[in-house]
Amino acid sequence: MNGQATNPPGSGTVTQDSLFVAAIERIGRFRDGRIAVQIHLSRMKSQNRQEGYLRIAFRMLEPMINAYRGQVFLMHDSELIMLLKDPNMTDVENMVYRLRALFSKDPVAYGADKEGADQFCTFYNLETADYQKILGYALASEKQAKRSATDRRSATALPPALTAANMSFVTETLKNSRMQDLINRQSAIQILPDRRRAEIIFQEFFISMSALKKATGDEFNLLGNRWLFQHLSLTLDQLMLDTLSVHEFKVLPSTFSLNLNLASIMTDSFSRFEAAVSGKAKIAVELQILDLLADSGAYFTVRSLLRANGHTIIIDGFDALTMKFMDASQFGADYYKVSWSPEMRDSDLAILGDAGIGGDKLILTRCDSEIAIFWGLDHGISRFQGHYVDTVLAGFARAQNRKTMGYSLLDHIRGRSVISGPAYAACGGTDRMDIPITLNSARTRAKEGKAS
Amino acid sequence: MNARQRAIAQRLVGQEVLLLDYIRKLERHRADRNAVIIRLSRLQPANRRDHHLRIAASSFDVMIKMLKGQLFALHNSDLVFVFKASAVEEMEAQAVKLRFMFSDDPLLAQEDVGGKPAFMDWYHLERDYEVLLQFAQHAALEEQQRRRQNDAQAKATPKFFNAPTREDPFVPELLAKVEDHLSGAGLSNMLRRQAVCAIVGKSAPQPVFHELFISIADLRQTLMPSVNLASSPWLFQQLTETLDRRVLSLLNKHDDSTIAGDVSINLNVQTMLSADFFKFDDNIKASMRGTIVLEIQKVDIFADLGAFLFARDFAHGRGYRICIDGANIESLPFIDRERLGIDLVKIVWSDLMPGGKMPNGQDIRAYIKKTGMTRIILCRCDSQDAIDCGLEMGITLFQGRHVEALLAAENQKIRNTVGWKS
Repeated sequence: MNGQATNPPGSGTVTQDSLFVAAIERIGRFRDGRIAVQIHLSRMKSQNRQEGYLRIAFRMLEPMINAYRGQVFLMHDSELIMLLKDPNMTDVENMVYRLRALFSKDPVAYGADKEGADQFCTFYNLETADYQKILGYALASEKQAKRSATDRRSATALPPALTAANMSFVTETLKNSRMQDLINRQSAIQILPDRRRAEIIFQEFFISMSALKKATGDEFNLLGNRWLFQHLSLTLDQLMLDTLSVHEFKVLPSTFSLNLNLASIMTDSFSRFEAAVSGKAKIAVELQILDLLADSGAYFTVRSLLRANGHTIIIDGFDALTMKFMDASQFGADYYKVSWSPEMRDSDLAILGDAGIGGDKLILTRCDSEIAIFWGLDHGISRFQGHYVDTVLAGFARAQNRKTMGYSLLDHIRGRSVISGPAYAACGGTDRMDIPITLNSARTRAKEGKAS
Repeated sequence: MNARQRAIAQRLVGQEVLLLDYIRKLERHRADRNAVIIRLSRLQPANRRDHHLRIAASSFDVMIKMLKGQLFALHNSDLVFVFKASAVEEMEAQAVKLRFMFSDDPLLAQEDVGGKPAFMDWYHLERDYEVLLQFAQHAALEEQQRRRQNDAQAKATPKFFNAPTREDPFVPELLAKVEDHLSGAGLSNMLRRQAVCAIVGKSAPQPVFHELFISIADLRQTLMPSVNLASSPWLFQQLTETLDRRVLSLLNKHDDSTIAGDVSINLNVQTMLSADFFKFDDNIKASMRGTIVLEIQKVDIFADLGAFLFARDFAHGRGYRICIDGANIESLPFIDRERLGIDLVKIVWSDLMPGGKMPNGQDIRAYIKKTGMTRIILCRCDSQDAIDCGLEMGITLFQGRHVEALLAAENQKIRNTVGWKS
């Protein structure tokens, strides 16, 4: 085995790509019985080729490498290439088959291009003209690798992950921050059956990750450790609840939707928030799947408590994958948030069927295009949230308000997404958040807005 | 519903929450309602044993059957009875009965000699609705907090150990300290084995495999005896992950027979994709490879389902079995073994299991059947009750202190039979 799964940073000009060029050139004169197998991992979605996955792929190739005097290279763009000598082709095919199965979640694994060529894997017989082909590829890749290495060095590296040791520093910093500057909001809409009108169902309030990063000086990658971030989010919940309880909204939202930990529901901060908006606004609570799994017993009691107080319960954090592997209906919540992804278009309708929940209980989130909305409507979903919705709403609000007509659509989108600061004062400050909207005109305006 | 079932139902949904719900529903019907709180919690402990409470509660049965009122038995032993104004006389008669029942308690004795009324509080909902609502809200909140603490404590009560009584909270600084210590410490003396056994009918337990783990109880005892690890579930999760990684590197260093035979280890998904795991994989290839079970926490699986599925396929390809760890009757509804493509489900024993229902009302037996009777391990079996209940429900694999005890007794018996001297 000749290398590690990734090039160490700062390894200079010796890259896997350049090692590959050297290897290809070296065997130029002794090509008898040699083949190359290229696995096109670069064509797969980035989440399907994380470092750990590549390490496993490498691992699975090991026996082949040992058996057939082979070498394996992981190119800068995650392409995986093996050089083998006189291999048993059945062995090679079996190995490719196993790799294909391992990456089967990605469409590339079993995909073919227009000519019917395998998208996942290419074989080269180095005794033939294939040799020139792969040599050309190797040289091009080496050049590209150098370029991207320079790019990488100039790009800022991720700060170190949050650790238990630096956590109290982060917590203290946050406690001394102006929380209203960290809170963002986003509306969710329900499109009425005539598909021409829509209503706001709630405004979701949450702590903006980018604002949070800024507030903590961007010294730590707050999401670098999942469990520590979960722990930190308990503090964030408190700070958000305390802020919203006293924040002076020009117009209160008709429904607040808050992302909270189960444990936060049972704090004084939550009771104070309830008291502050009682009789003036409704409350929806968004709970995370992970939190509910960690303490399902608490979930069922909290659910009763929230229901008894007349609040809406939303479970957040579903996507096409989780819907497939979990019977979400067991949560017995009012709504479930599913994040939109383009691959939902291609997948079968079973996504919704498996979850045992009807479209009337779903809120499709992260809708960044009209396609998402149409897909949702076609699948019986009428509730939506996401940047596309923000754009439509901002376009509509802008058209409705002469005072803010002079501001751009982008100003409106920004203004509507915060609760303080200059952007809020300019456009969001009018607080025309919960108005019912007509979709046709809004859609046209949104398009105009994009063009401007 | 028999008494036991009633007790279970009460535990599933707190009476405090039901009371709050009920009071809210009465908002528009306050005119003809009264309520009384019977402060059994203020009685001497000797006067509020289980049977006292049961008798006090059942004395309301007649009125309840005639639909004159609703009774709520709060966790602190207090009773709240909300009744129709038309039944006020019957309630007064009932009050006399109750006072008589507890007349020898100092609380009532003081009341009788002109002290403030302390045993019962009466409310006219029309006038006192807000006060009662506040009382109910407060009670519900307190109960949620109590349950949460209990749940967390039960969850984190380490194997082989009873939770401490009074503790300091588990804070990030402490976690940092422990992690720091772990990076240098020799942990092999804290490595434990516990058998997962097949038990069928009255037969003796047959070990199927052994779980290898670091005793969190010992660790806590050594490093932070006064700390309640359960007070911060996410930090606890982080700690177990660190420990699991340490176990793996410990096993990688061992060249003895620790990992020979059939064993299970706890792993998190990211570790399964790491070089440490490959090394482990190499090592056991070299040793006598038996069945190896990888135990993965439910939260870890769902934290990154894509990564889990990838790691699962790889592990299955290498011949490992995968077990989902940390399931309990509350989380079972969300764990679909077949859909997740895992081999085993480990369920933590709970004394709510004999009730036969999960919190969503589903039947536990049906779940066991659907999951596959041989696919479930009932763990933390600290008593024969747990094993009996599991057997009765069709479970065949058990783990826990009581299982260890049975196993030890059996080995002793064998030794005696073959005439070994110990």
